Amino acid sequence: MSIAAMILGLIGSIFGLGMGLFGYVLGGATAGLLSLAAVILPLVGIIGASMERANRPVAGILMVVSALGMAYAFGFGFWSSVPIVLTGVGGILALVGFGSDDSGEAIDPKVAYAWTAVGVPIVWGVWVTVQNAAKIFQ
Amino acid sequence: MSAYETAAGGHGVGLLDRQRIIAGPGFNRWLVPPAALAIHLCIGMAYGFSVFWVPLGRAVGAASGTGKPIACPGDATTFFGKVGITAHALFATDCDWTQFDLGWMYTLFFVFLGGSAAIWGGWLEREGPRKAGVVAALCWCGGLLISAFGVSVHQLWMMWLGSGVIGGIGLGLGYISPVSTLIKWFPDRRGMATGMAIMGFGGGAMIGSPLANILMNLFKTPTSVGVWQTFVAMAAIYFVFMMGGAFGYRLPQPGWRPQGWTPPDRNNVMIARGNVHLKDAHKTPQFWLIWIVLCLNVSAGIGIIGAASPMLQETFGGQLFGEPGVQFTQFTDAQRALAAAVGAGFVGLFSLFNIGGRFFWASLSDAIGRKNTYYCFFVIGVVCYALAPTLAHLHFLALFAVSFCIIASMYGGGFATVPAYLADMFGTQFVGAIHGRLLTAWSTAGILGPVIVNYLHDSRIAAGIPRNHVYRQIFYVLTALLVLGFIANLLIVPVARKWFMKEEDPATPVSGQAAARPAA
Repeated sequence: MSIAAMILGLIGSIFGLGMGLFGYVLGGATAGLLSLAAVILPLVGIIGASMERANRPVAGILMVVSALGMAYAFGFGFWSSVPIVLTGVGGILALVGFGSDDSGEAIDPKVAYAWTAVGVPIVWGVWVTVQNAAKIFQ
Repeated sequence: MSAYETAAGGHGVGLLDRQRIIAGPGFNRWLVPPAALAIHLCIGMAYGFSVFWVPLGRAVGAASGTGKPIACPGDATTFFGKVGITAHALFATDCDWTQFDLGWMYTLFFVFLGGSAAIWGGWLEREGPRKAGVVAALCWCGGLLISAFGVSVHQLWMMWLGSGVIGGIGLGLGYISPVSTLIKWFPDRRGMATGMAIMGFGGGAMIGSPLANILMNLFKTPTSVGVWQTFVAMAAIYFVFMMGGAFGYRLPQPGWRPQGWTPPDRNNVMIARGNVHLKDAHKTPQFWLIWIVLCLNVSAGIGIIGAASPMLQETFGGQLFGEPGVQFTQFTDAQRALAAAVGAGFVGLFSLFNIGGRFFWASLSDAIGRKNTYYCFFVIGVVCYALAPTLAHLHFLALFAVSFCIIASMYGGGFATVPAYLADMFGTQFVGAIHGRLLTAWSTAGILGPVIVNYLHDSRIAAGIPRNHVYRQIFYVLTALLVLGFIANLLIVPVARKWFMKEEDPATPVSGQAAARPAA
């Protein structure tokens, strides 16, 4: 479980960093603070994933914050869903797996695949709902 | 031939049989919650069916080229008049369906969900979750296909039969299919495990509704609203996901426990050491007290959740769009649209908290206990409902919204925590089936809650109460329901020893066959 969370977090955050650097900063997709956020937030995810073995709850929170931040900075589209979902699922796995000492929880890509398969539609649904709910604050 | 010989020999053990899905050593138990989620996310679309009401309400008009709804003949001003129109619409092909006609789908969904879970819960425990998951997929997706055909030939009865009746049976089987499996895999986190799955049921509409909108926009033409094609597409997508979920289920070996985990303190009398048989569970007062607890918690939430958008608009009026002096009854068309948009946002916020609450409260119950979790629901719920009229009077919109978001979270939390509560009280062996029977409380609450809210709402409007004060009395009535729920929870004590099965009781389901062939 913990390895799966770390791998997902790293892949997602590195993908997000690439998007942030090339799409949003160098490519000029956003300006000002959002450009900065597009780089910093994936870095937060990388830091979170890296410390997954040392401190799961903090790692999980950092990855979830990174995923939510990337969703805000990039918007939720086809390509941006990749780093958002991977990092978010990694963060959730780290949080859920906190204190776990289950058997058979070594490196297991099947767990990561299974959670990603259900995580992608969930994150998309949450994103759409958050956008609708945001109207109450406008 | 014993189960062991059957399984080991590989003869006579079907692909869907219980023996087939006993997990082998090293199986990662975290593969089971996504399987459960895959099924619950699909059947949870039942909550989002209202997305089809508007396009279905003008399907005949669109086909005839006018683009406007064609009403069925009859008197739509009285309840019985409306029922008469619905009776005509069941077989008519020349007039459009109303929201009243289509709204019966929800009644069918939840009546058949509760009924099928209660009737076939025992069968599920015998046959295993995979078979139940496959049957649920066939019923839910097959029902959607029947509905698609019904929509294409404009036969309302086929829509009711397909999605309402057959689909409703699929809902019940799918809903309870992972419960006992997850509880057996996560004896250390019963609440969290079932909370994750049941969170999926709450989240199904969150995914299904926007997906349905995308598909309807894709399929619609000048003469078709695109609904039947959407049903077919969604049936195909859901079938793939649900079958994936059903085939992902695995049962633990008998006696399996997480590495390093020891059962909780034996002095905790609120966690049963044995198992109560399905045929005896409903004879205990604890079953009925939990039934009342769930029914009252759901009743207090469901009525308000169903009326969330109009409640906000009627209570706060023009404050929703920055014109506090404008009352609900004075809205212009443009203001009505603005208020409806804010109301829709409120509904979205509600659904997020409903879903999040399922995971949060169920996980919390692992730490503080199920009984204490329900105490939280009732105490916090009473405070929120009792404060609501004051918050509305003071025009504290944000705090009002926050208090109802908390209520929504506890509504969801009630569903998600109850399987673990049952497992604690009655043991894990028949918990899926007992949970199925308990879901009749949901069906009852599904009628009770909206009836209370809608009856009081309409009668107070008829009595000339200003719109911004209409909900005041409703909140107090719901508070009273929660107080009753608190008392019922208070009365729950451990099940008497006489109800527990003896060690040698032969009623153990087939999962207990120790040497069944492990699955990968």
